[in-house]
Amino acid sequence: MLRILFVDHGFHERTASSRFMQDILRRHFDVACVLVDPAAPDPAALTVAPDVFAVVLWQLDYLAPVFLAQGVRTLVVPMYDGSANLPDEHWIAARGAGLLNFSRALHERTRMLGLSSLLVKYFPPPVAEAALPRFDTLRGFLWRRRPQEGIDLPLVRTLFGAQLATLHVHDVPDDPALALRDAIDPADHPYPITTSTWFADRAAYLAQLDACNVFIAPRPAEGIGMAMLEAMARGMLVVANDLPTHSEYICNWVNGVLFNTHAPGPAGFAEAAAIARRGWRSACDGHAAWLVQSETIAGYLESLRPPPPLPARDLDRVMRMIPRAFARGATAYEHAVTGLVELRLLDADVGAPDTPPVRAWPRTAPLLMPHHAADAELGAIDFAQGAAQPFLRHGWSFPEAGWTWVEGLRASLAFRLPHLPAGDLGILCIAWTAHAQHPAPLVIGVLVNGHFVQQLRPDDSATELRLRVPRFMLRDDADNEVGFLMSSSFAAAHDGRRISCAFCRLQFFDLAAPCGEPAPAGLLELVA
Amino acid sequence: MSIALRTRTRRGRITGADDAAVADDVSFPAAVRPRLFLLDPVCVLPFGHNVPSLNYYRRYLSARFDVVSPFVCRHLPEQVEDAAEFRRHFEFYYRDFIRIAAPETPLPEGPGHSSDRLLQCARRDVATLLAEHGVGGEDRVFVPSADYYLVRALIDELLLRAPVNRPRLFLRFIGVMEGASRSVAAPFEELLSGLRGAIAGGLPISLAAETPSYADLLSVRTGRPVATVPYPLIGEQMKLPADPVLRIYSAGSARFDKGYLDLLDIARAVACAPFAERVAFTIQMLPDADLRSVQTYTSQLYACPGVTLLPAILTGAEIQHEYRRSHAVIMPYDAGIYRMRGSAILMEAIAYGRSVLTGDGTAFAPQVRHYGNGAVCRSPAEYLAAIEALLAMPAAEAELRLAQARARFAIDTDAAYQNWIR
Repeated sequence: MLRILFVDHGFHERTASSRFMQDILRRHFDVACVLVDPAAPDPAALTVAPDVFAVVLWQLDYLAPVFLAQGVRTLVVPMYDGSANLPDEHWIAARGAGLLNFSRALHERTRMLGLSSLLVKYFPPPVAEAALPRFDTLRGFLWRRRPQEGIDLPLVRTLFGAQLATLHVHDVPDDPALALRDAIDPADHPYPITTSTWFADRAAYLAQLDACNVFIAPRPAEGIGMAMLEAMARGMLVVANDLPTHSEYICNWVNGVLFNTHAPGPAGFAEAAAIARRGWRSACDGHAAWLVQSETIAGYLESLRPPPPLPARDLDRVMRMIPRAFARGATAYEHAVTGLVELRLLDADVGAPDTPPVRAWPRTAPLLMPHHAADAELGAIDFAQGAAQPFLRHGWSFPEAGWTWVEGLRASLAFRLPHLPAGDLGILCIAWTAHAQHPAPLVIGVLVNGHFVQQLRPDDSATELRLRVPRFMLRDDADNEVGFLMSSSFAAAHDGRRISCAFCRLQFFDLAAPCGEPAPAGLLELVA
Repeated sequence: MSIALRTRTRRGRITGADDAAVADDVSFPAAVRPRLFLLDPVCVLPFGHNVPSLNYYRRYLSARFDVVSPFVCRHLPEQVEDAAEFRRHFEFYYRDFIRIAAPETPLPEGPGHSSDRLLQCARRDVATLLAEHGVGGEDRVFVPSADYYLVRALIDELLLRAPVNRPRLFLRFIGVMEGASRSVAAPFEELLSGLRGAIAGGLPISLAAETPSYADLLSVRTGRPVATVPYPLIGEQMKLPADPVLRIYSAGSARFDKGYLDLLDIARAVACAPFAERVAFTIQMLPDADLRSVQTYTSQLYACPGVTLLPAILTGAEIQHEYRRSHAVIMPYDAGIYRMRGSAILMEAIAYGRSVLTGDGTAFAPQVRHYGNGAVCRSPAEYLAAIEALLAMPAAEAELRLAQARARFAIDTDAAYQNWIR
């Protein structure tokens, strides 16, 4: 049997939520399990032995580059609740891995970013029809797990009002400090409330579940949604927040009910029995389909190809950088992974799949033409109304009124200089972006003729960004190519484009030349 | 019949009345049958209907012409299955409307607006084709899906020729790319104006449209009779599957104007019906560019009991497989967009013997009523009723009804093509 390494979060040792996947893999592979504590990374523990056929990362998708860098075939099982808000670079850095997605939203996002993904839909075994709950009254079950995110007693009262006959509150929040401190005042609720904390065993939990017929899903979003699916398979009416994976299992008011924690309102549950029964039917059909799907996972894993390992120096950098940055928090991790993506972009020429097709450009780039011969200005490229078109190479969208967007994560343009400047080349770049649309502030890496120059951070409005290009990077007898590498892109509101930064104008100056006219603000500082 | 007005030259060329819409049944001896040039410069994408429909035509018309030569866009990927017989010739004139993977190539130099250069490019392509293949007065040029630039270029180039060297033009309008130009304010009007001028200038042009509604419109606007010719019927009738679950297929890459956003209401209505467990939907999704903006909706489709989502692009074999395992296709197309348009899916469904469930107000809804191969529905409730009726119909009766619809369609279509294109 081929040997695989199952890398899991230490927390799951207690919840055993990955056990079913390990069982599936054990039917085909010799599975060794490694538990990782993301808060205390130990790079040495992540070194893979040569006899390991593949690594399976359960939820720890941030570690994919670490194993890919070692040249190991890697299967990542990401979870929507943990990974949905991570930037595109998080996924781009995992290219080369295979993804096993339980969330359709994540599947589509990663697929569109160029990753290989297998979408599956898990359902636990359903109970027999004879064991379905009665719906003579509505008896709610609330696992009070994330009260700080709005799924708490007031929400249940708003949704159900007096339609509930009873409510059981399983009071074990992820943050123990948020447990109920005082007894619930019966006057605050139109139904009697009972409570519990951790049950002695699973049977006790299921017995309490069977006493109820309405299950209020405990978290705003889920990776798979085991508790929700278990309730659905037991014939309970599942009521859940309208985010994946809830919204990928529940078709609203058909086989469950979706609410919005930000704007909950009273709802009528007269059809509860019929909806719950359709939920149970979904679980019956879904479980049968899952049994077939689960048999394809091993084949998918075997079909993955191991990537080429990184050279020792880069490997060491990746193995140290990524786990530590993740342990330091979101900002540090995003910075690190963006750097990693830039490294890969430069070395491996890995382009975003949504980058527009390469445009055919003239054999030589246009010459920059100064407005005034005596000026320090060597020329300008104006992106308004298509004036820049002769200079643009790949990655640019169509010209708009005052700017041109970069489509995807990379763009380039080229120009020729009439002569080499006496000093360094100053570029005044006027650009902007829509920061609210980016997962993190946009950072642009600028390259000139393959040399990294510096990073730019555009603002929400058109602002001047300054670049100083050392003279040695320039060519006077050939095209000078400027490349822009974006840290992220976003979907434009009204069309299918995925855009990142809007460029208005680039102005080029010889920083050693005397200024014939007052230089733009900022350039003086640059010259100085 | 106008046969008395016509004579045939020694090599088979018909002279005299040249209106094919009232053509007679004169056929050519095998040795002198004209060549047919089948042109579609919009045939560029490796998916969609252009490639299969051009193949339909190639095979269908090969029975009546010794040489049928399809010419397509030169950017059609060479790996595309079923395109081996095509000659890649035309530049792609519609980058403003359809994004393709091929890099742009420089257009011919010339004065004027860039879109005029597209017309220049189309004219150059047409002139080259006509010259390289010695296309003359005895040949036929058939454009099965008329598009703005090709039609204008053909007219411009052929008007330069002496009448004896002008091949007969058969232009079939389907209401998709006829107005696809950014160069003029009203491109469709420009095209019609060009057509009227060409007809007045003596070009032998026969017009047809895919649907009766569109044919009527064109007839009024051109002052000529316009034939109605749907896609020819190619493909064998498939036996209905014995599956007790009624499978309904939303075929082809989804589009908003093909009712993608209406499918959830219909599927939800079915999921809540007493017979829900006996119905299943298979739905091809939107292409990625459109899918991005409707992920929440698509997740609800994904969650709906009885719904299976398929990728936007399937291979020909996968599409055949889906037809084979389905009982019906669903086409809740937008009545506004399809007011004049026909549907290749409808033709495929008739050919394969599958029922059609479609919305009202489209140009092809009357065809569904006429051929009796399905139901025209105005609301999710009517779709639900139509599906219940399909469930209630014995399989043998359904098979016979679909065979009858197919036969009626085949007779009509064959007659239409026999009369129109010759």
